[in-house]
Amino acid sequence: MTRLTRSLRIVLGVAIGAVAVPTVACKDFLKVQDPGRFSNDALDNLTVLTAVANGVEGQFQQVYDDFVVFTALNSDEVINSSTWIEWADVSTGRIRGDWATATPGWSTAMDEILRNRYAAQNAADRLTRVLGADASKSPLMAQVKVYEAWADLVLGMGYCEAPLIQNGDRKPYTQLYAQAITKFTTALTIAQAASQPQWVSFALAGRARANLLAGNYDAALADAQAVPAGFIKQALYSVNSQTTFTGGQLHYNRNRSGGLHPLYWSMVDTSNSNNGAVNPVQYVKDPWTGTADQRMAVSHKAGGVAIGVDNKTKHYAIQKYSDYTNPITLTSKREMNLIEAEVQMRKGNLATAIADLNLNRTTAPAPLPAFDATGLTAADVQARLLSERFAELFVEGHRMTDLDRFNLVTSVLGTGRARRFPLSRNEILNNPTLHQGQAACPAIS
Amino acid sequence: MSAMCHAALLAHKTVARSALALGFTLVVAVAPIAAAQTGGTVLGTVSDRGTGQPIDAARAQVVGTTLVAASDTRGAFVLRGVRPGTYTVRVSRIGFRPEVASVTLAGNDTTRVTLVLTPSAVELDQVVVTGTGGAVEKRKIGSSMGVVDMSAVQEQMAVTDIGQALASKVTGLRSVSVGGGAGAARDLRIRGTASFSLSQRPVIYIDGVRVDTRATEWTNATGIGSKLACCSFAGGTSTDRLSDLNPDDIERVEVLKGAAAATLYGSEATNGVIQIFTKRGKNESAPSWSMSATTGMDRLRPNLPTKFFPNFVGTDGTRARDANTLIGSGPYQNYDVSVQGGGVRNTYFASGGYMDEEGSIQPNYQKKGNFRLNLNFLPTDKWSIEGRSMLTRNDIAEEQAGNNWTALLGNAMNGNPRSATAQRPFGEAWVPVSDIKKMQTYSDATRWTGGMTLNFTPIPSFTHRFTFGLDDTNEQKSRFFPWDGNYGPAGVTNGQRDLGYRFYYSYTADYLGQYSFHLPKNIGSDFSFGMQALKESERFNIAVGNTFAGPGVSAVSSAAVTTGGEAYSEKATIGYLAQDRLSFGQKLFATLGVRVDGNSAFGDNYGFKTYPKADVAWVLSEYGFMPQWVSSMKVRAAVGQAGKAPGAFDKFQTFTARSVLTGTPGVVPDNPGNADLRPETTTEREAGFESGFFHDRLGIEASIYHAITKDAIVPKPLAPSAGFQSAQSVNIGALENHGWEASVNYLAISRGKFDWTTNVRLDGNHNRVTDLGGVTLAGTTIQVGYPVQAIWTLPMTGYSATTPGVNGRAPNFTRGSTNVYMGPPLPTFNASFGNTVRFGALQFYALLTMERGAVFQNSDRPYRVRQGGSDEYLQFLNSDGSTTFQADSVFNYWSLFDAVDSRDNVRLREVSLSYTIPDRLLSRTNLGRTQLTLSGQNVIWWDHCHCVDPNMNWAGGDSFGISNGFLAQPSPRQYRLSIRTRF
Repeated sequence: MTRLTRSLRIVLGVAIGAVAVPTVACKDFLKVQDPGRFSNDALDNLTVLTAVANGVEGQFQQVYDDFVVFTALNSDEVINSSTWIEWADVSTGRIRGDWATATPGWSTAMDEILRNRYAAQNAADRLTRVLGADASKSPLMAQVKVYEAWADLVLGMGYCEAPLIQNGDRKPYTQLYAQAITKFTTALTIAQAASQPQWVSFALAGRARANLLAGNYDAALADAQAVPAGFIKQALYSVNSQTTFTGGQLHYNRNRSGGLHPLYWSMVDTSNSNNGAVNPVQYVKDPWTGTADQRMAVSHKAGGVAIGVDNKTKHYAIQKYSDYTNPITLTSKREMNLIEAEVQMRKGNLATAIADLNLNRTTAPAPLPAFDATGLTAADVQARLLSERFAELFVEGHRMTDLDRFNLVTSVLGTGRARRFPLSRNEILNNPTLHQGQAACPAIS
Repeated sequence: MSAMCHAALLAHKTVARSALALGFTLVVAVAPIAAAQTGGTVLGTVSDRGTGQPIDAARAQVVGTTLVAASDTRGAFVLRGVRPGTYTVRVSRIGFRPEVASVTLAGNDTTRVTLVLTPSAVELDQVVVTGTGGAVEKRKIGSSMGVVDMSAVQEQMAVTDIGQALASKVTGLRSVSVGGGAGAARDLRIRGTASFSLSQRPVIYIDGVRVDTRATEWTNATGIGSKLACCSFAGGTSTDRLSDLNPDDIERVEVLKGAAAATLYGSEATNGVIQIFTKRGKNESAPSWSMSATTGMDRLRPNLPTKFFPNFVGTDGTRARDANTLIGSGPYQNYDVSVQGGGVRNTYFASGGYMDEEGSIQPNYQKKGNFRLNLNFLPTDKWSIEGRSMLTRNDIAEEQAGNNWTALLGNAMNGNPRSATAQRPFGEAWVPVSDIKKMQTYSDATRWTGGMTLNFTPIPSFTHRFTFGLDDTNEQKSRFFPWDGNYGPAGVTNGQRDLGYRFYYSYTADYLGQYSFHLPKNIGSDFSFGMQALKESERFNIAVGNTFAGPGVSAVSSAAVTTGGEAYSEKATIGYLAQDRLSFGQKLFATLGVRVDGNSAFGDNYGFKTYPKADVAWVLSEYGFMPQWVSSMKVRAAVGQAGKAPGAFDKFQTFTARSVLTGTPGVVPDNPGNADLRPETTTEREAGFESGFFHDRLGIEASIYHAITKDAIVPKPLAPSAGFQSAQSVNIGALENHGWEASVNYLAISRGKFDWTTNVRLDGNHNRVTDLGGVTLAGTTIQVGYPVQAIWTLPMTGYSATTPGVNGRAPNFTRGSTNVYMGPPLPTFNASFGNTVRFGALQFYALLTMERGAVFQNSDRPYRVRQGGSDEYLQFLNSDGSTTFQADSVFNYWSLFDAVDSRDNVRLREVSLSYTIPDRLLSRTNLGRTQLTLSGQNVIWWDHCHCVDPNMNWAGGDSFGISNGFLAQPSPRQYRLSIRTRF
């Protein structure tokens, strides 16, 4: 027994040594670091704040392409020619409740816009924490605040409902417009204090659109008029920045997954052969004059039948998105002209409305003959307003909202179609305030 | 990390390699000056009673001492240093009943002993080491373990890679080729799925050193934007680092099947452990050379669903081509040469191998060169030093396959023959096959794996083992799109070059002590204790050059737009273990053990994890009450825990730096992090028996198990309105696997020249999610009450023969809005039936396998129809291409529904005919045992799946996704003719 005890002591000593020596020597052995990402604390640093603000802007612009593509598919701008069932569903107005949440689509577009809104709020909190009182006049604060407002605006345009805050309850799109207006006002104040005219104009343009969609016509008119001539703000895409545009899916250079809607195939001016190019650039005709409207450039294979990647649908490429890097216009003074025209129309000032429409119509890149206001009724002006909006804002994310708010979905596209997209399934499943089966709209087929 | 730790754990590659190389050199240099031993010598020979052939690698031991030797290829062994006295010499070998012989020595006598071993269907006396806390006979362990004798496998078949060799050899282990051509990865897993997100590949050790097992594409790992055509280089099943190994170097493989057996491996062992043991030389044997040469071919089965294509003419008058015409015979050749031998105190094994395999669909090949040197040196009676080194160069021209715009067969099979043109003869919708064939996709890996093991035995009852090892993989992938190809759908115009580097290393430092002593009442106790430190890191560097000015250049730097990416991950584990095995005579054995782990991936609020284990083995056949025809009977039971560490950096809350706008730095929220993150913990209970009947001619083994995984990591997405992009890893889930395994080995006939051996292996597994912590995950992949990655689909709810459907013509179908469960993604029943018949010099072998119970999303099927192709649709079209009601019916149906098909199949997996050249014919050649083998792999299968191969999966290897066969490339039939000889 004594021998056993002595042996056990030896073993125990060796065992303790085997454990203790490396443990003491390697106390940092389990420490690892992710060199590819920032920690939260590391970002509370003056030198990184510009990147934080640019991250907010870049994230919004990155997601905006998906918003454009899916609103175009759910309108009369683009027809699906892909083999993706999800695209086919949207293109035919079927919005499935069990939409695959991982697939880039309307649902993930909403997810990204919501995340972008959070990123803007998170960035604003950080700016306040690091800059203190100077935050209220910081150009970076103006940048993130204006994008926070734009996130609400775009959510209101595309979706029936969304939470107004993190993990908030579902609210109708009208409240998103109202919240966007409030946020644009805040952003405007900061941008003015920071003497940042580009953010002032971007906030004004956003608030003009939000006011228009919310029915605040006088306020919309005032904001639109305040936007300076020549103003334009685009979402930028670049292979270098890896923020490329899904709209490339709409071109023959890429996937041919969607193209001009069949309603307009007969209106494509085929007279331009581009000197015999295989894929000549052609234009959808202006419905009032039959003249090629260069705002709606498409391309269809000369002398043959170009078909989509589904191997069956005729394909007219959307020429403004011929590459992944083409920018998308977010807003511009030309959109403001349309807002002015619409407000004037709604106020009964039909001649002024037509004059406002002609501001765009007679200038590049259109340029087309001016409308004559003589004898036009309110309905006539609305028809011209809508065709101008279609052409001027072609595949830029407006058409689906226009069809809805002018109640044209049925007459243009038929019955049984979703007019807007429902709340994202990811938000419903993961927001503790929300529950399934409570969606107010649209009817999910 | 402290400097001491650096030294101890070899935490830098250069240091590690240098240290191991130095040690290796010492083994070589010091060997000749070994001191002579004193005592007597036993010279022995071992042969097979059935064939009369010498038995290689038999283990000979002087019972009651630490004197052990192994037989060489001539069956000879030498035991030196035997003190005067009478001893029992015991010889054992996998597949044979152990035999003993009594020897008596006086002074420095030399005595000879001859032992003839009888084939056995039972392996109770086999010595194993993996997860057992030291070498131990199987009779003493209470958990189930599989052992594959590679030399026995190679006697039957020409083995292309280790994954293939393991297929259907161990119950519960699934090794299936899921797609791709030469060099493509396999799905390798044990006892189902035990996680919601983490890789299910078992951890793999080679001679005690943890090694690289990556077998997935780099897409999500490269740190580069997914919207570029990079970096899923081949699109699907990827290369498999397991294919770096040379099967000819492997002696045996031990497989720990689950948590109960693998507890001592801690936080990476939930999915089991596979340990590969390489060959070593034999003491006091002259150089023994082995050579083999193999030739053959790979050829796909011509069952691609495009046989109706030539019935149609495309828009420019081109007659469409059948994708089956792309199938060719890819030649195969393999050469291995090895030499082994040793002196009194040293042994050596050296080998070289070269393999060249071309795929059935070109371009695709694998060219591999292997070199191995294993040295063993005993400087004193108390020390032994083993050094092992493997260098591999593995070049693979990857096949474009998988969910990939440039999938070669995908484009050829999923086109519309009525759209065929001269440029697109298969009616390719995306990229012409001719352009895909012009692409160049390479995966070139250089890998060094090696280590040293020091064994120290101060007294026979107290042993120490130190193992240090490094696995270092440098891998380069390259994909080149020529300037003039039509690669638009892949996002490429005017060419692109993707260039990627992967640097992987894994360090292992391991100590194991074992002290054997007796407790009162003659209870034996083997107490083991030790520690293990592991560190692995993986770095990717990617460069992409897009848009060339014209043909003639291919460098990234010559492109107009260049992009780069880098990703890095690192994980460290430190574990301590202790175990005591109590022996009550040779009848009852009980083991208690524990492993305590710290891991760099555990949350900062979480400390160390403790994994306990207990098992009992009871050898009933040691009692007298068993009838005589029961030659051995062991019942066993075990319970144990093992873990699965979270992803390397999942615990950190992080913000991603990304390039935004036109190349401006931006930062956005990314991972919410979780400071409480802990490992998934699996508790497994198993019980079973191992038995032998009729003098061990019939062996029956069976197990049942029930494994419960708790703290399963659920990737819980935050509501998008709450910001962070990535899902938060949280330990809230639970799942269970329960199953059974049974095998029967029967040496049916052994009379003179005629032997017939048969075996049946059966297993079943059922998997079920039991808890998600109240979280409802999007999609149907993980749902409480159903298997992980279960297959669901929307059902048909209506049909109208007169209402227009999707294509504007009748009939019309309608579907429900609620998904319906269709089945599990993995088979719930596997069976294999192997037979080996030997008549004199001829041997015939065949292995038939069966899988049942699994279904998968056969996404190719509806996709093809929607594209206007597929024989299923084309067969109903009129000869002029006009449609019919049946064709419209097929089209409209598959435009609405997913295809869920069965993976059930019966497969003639292996078949061979061998001829051993009689010694009399070799007598003038100085050649030893020489064997010619003609073999076939994956020869034919029967299924009721509307697919090319029911085993297909679009992503392979260690990819977690196993439920979809989209655009997967089937595996070829492989035919081989080989000759193996010794001299």
